[in-house]
Amino acid sequence: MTKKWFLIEGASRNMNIAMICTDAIYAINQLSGKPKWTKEKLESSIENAKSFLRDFSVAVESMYRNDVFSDPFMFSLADETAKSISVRPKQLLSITRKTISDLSDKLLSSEAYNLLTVIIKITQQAAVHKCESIKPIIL
Amino acid sequence: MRINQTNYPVIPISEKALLAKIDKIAKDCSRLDQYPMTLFKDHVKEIKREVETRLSDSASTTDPILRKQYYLFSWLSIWLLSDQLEKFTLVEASTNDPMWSHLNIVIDDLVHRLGLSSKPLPFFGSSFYCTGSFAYTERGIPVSPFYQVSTESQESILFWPLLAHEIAHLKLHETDEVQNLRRELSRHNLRSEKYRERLDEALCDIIATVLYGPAYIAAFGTKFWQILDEYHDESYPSNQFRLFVMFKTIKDEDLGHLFNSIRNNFEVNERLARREKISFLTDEMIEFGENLVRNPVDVDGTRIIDFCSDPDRIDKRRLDYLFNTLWLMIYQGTKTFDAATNMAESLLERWTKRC
Repeated sequence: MTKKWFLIEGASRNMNIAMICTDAIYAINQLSGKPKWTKEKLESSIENAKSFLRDFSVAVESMYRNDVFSDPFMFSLADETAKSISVRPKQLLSITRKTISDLSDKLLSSEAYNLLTVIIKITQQAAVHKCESIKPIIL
Repeated sequence: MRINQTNYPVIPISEKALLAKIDKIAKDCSRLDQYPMTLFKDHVKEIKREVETRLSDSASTTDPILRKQYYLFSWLSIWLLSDQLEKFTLVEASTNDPMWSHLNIVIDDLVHRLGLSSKPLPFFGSSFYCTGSFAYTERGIPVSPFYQVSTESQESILFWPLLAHEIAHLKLHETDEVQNLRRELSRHNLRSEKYRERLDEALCDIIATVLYGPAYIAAFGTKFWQILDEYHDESYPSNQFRLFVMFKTIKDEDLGHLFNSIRNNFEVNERLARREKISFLTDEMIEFGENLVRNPVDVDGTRIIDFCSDPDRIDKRRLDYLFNTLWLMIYQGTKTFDAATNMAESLLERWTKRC
């Protein structure tokens, strides 16, 4: 019955990443007007996304380098992302680094926004899929 | 996976319905005022606060993708909470069972010896498993871990060492160092999730053996050895490998000799075990398991032999002695399974009363 635990853990991990990326986009959006969030929450949301993207970039590098390794979950996410936006791993790494740089500059280029929303979609769908495997979520 | 490109807008009434649902769950739980039940009440409060915050963010953003995402997060959070609520009804029913306090002694022992951050709520279910909620407090979702663990209601207390495997899953979830072993899988081109799951399973067997010694192997082997031949699931290491790492984890020569009566019942072939793809990590996994447990099983062979003639003398709350002595007696044929079960129940009853 450990399967259920793996499914819940997997769903949670996917949802967490989806939220990290969502919060980062929302934080940047708020900076162009009067923010709803506190300064600390805005800062931490951006830093959380940068920290996640650094791990993600290691997974992307591990796709084409023999001396870089990541855990299977992040590798799978990097692989899915590259397929979804139809880019090679090296291009994905470049987009990821650009996104980290954008976040440091507290802005989001369309390329960075696209990367984050694709990761949101992948992780959200994976979370729903895993939840469905735990018990039916639709009639 | 194919990315679904549709992005239907969120219907505000759906958001209101979610808020009403979480509100109802929180009200239902407000009556809970005794530990450890309050753990669930606090968890519900946290989820409620998180959902309210996310739905408030949803209402204030103009980006349809973000709005949808905040809604979906809230929806899934409440969906998972409903699953936990279903289990919680079993927890509440279990508290009426006199054995529930005995079960808590075992859970408390495991939580303490593994240094788990939160006590899982135990209950009598239909099998051994653990479940829970988010524990990603470092970044992202700021919700504390919440765990539930099920033991098989009709099963003898003697199988409770199997709970160590379940609690080990929870501990792995809280342990960053396990990532080093997971990266080793990638280094050996084992990048599929199934290998990560096999690694976790083997680690949980090792941790459980470090916690309860031969008693874990006896409980595992007695319950599963025959069925394992017919059970093949890619998420689990081979059956030969599982038993192989368990036996390899027990290093104490005297203890090993003492438990030969158990070991001899399970035909473990190292050559077959080594065919398991993750077997190259055996030594590292055992070292990891040994380092993770604060207080490993510490039973002395001479004392166990003493206790075999008079189990009543087993020190209070020494579950490692209790389970190992009784399993040894069963496999040596000096006590029947039923008599050993009754003895375990009677000792736990006495220890509970003393608390």
